[in-house]
Order: sequence, then C-alpha cells, then structure tokens
Amino acid sequence: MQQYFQLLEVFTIREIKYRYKASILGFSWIIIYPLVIAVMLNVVFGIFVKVPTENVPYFLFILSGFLFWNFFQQSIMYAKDSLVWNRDLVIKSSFQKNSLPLSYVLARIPDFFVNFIIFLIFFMASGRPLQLNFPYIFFLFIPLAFFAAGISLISSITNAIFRDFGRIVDLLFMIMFYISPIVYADSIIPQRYKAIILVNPLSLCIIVARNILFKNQFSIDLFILALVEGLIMFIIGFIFFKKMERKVADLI
Amino acid sequence: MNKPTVIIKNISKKYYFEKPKTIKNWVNNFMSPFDKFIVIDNFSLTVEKGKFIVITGPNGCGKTTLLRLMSGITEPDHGSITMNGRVVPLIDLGAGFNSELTGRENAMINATILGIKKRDILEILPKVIDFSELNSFIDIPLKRYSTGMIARLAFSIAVYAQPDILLLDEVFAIGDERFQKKSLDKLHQLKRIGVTIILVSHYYQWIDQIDRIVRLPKNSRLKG
Repeated sequence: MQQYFQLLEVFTIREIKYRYKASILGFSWIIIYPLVIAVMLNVVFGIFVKVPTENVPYFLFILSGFLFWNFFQQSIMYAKDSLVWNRDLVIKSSFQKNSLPLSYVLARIPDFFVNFIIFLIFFMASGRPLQLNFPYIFFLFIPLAFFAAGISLISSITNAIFRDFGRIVDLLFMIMFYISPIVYADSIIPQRYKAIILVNPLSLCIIVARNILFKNQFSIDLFILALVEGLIMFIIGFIFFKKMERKVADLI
Repeated sequence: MNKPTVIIKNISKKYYFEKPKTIKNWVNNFMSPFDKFIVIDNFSLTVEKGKFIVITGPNGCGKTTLLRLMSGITEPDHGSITMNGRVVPLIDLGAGFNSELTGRENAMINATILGIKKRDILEILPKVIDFSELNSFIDIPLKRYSTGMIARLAFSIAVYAQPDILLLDEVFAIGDERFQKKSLDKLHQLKRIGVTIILVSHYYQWIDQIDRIVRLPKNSRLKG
C-alpha cells in the first residue's frame, strides 16, 4: 500500500515537472490558459448573447464554472492517453497500472488551486465579501476528483486497446461542456430537462459552488448527490480497469 | 542451495495481431479484429536458487515473452509460473525512462516501479551513480545522454534493486568492453550471494560460470 502511494507520488511529480519542461513561459501557462478562455467566453456569452446570471458579473460567473470544467477536462484529456504514452512502461515493467491515469488526474490539482486563487482575486476585486459558507467550496473538489478519476480509468484502458475510445472521449467533452451549466445558469434549463443536471456531478459541483459564492447557501443535498455519483463512477472505473489490466500489456 | 526459485509448468502463450485493414474485409475485421500467434507452446523450466541461466534461440522464438511472463507483466494462457523471491526485470535498457527528466529523477521513478521504498532508494542511489560512472551527468536531462549512458544507468539500478531473481534481456548488447566486464563481475558477485540470474542473449560465448543454457525452439506459428 505504501509502495502504491509512492508510485502515485513519483508519477504525479514526474508529470508536473515534465509538463512545463522545454517551455519558456513554464508554470505561467496555468494562469494564462483559463484567463484567455474566460475572456473569450465573457465576450461571446456575456456581451454578445447576454446570458442571464441573476446579477452576477458574467466574467466572475464564467470563471467560477470554468474552474471546475478546466480540472475535469484537462485531467481526463491527459489521463486518457496515459497508458498509450507510457507504452514502454506498460509492456516492460510490472507495477499497478492504474497509478498512471490516476497520477495524471492528481497532477492537475496544483492547476485547480492556482485557478481558484485567480478566481478569488477577481472575486474580491469586484467588492464581494467572502461569506460564512465559503470554506465549503473546498469540499467540492472531492466529488469532482472522484468523477474525473473514474472516467480517466475507463478511458485510459479502453483507449490503450482501441484508439476509437479516445475519439469518443473528445466527442463527450463537447457534449459535456454544453449540457453542464458552465456558460449559463442552471435556472434557464426547463423543468423537464432538469434530470440532465442531476445525474452529472460536474453540473452539481458548479451549481453548489455558485450557490456558495453568490448566494451564501450550501446546498448539502446536491453536494451529497454529487459525492455519491462521483464515488459510483470511481468504483465502476476502478473495477473495470482491474478487469482489463491483465490484458492490456498484450493488446496496447 | 537446491531449492527451486523458478518453476514453470507447461505454459503456452499466444499474442493477438491486428489483421491487415482492407475495405473488402471490413465487416469481418470489425467482428474479429485480431489474428492469433502462438509464441510459446507447452514450455516448462525449473531453475534452482543461485543459478546463472542463459536463454537463447532464434529471433521471434519467445525469449523476451518468457521474461515478461516470469516478471508478471503478462500472463500465460495455460500453465503456471511460480517465482519464489523478489523479481527484478530488466527487459529493455532504459524502458520507460523520460528524456526530459534528469538521470536522478529517472532513477527515482525506475526504482519505485521496481518496488523499492523511498528511504532505500536514497540509500542505494549513491551506489547506482558510482557503478554507472555517470557522476556529474546524473543531474542532466536524459535526452543529453548517450545510448551507453542510459544503458549503464538502467543496469545499475537493476543490480542494486535487491533482486532475488534477476531477469535480463540482452544487457550486454550495449556498453563498452570494460563496462561489460564490470557488469559481469557484478552478476557473479550477486550469484555468490544467492541471486538467480536469467539472461536472454545471443552472445553468451564469452561469459563464464554459466550453469545452464536453454535453447528455445522456433515453434511459433500463425493460427487462422
């Protein structure tokens, strides 16, 4: 067990170090990337489309949603190729292979917190106070990370065998981005489509986060739902990976 | 000294190959995308503790596959493999090394994959650096290394990874004569303290103190 955590640790550190090697801007990419996207989305959906946000400045609104989306998308995008990229390791050494996709998810944690700090700076600059329920926002990371890890496990091992699955994940990103309340508020979704939100931990996390930040209320029921769904996804991913793991060295 | 450390009983192993992709066979390929290829057919082997075994045979006869089966990277379709002790495989010199990271960082990762605890790694690292003769190169990214330097680093980690059974695949193909000699001395030293050494090689004629040479037959065949 201790050995397994050491494995996770070295792979995670390797990925973080490797990501910004041979790069001029280095770690500042963590800041540049979400800001550029947020500015762009702000122009398109805030100024052109004028999405209603219940009196929250659209830039803050999009940044709060994009924070979660960015972690979800970036971790899975890299984790899905983790086995393919480390093919040499997979076919030539013997170790717990699920540490590879999981470490790519863990390697995104620093990005998440840096993005979060950027968001806080804009949040405070707009003159909004941090209210009593604010610390709860950190708990939201747990269901989100489990959800992302579960999908990473399934997509990495299927993608290792048939690259078609990597394409499917790219397609699902597109769908996920639009069915989650990232660029819009969940309140504009008609009642009979609300189920789409409830079965998606990413949506739930964003809704709970916005309730904390802009309404000072912690929606514990939605949080627990997200946590349960995230855990279920993780367990499914974990078992699925375990079943396929024995075959992957021959088929990758 | 006669306790067997490796017991292989009647193992068979087949691989799957992608069929050539043609439009004519598209439907058929979609339903069953792989051809089967038998690499090892009903093979048995017993090795006693502290022996130095060389496995040889023509290309494609399953030598590397045998090492991968013994190290648990892949599993046999039939039969059983029992390995009594800590297995350290060195299937490919420098496999899985990351070219952007330094020698030291790669050594840390590689040793962790071989299942060594962090404080033990810190303990053996100076010995690894010393044996591999990398010295000041150890903190330079691997992409600046020569092939020989990478091979020396990989070999050094494997021999200091406290193996009971050491599985080596063509480790003497790279490296100058002096380092080859030094490596062989190290293997003999390990053998004396009871480490079982299984070496896959075509060029073993110059190696002394080999206990047994196993020749794999060329029995691989494609199966429709």
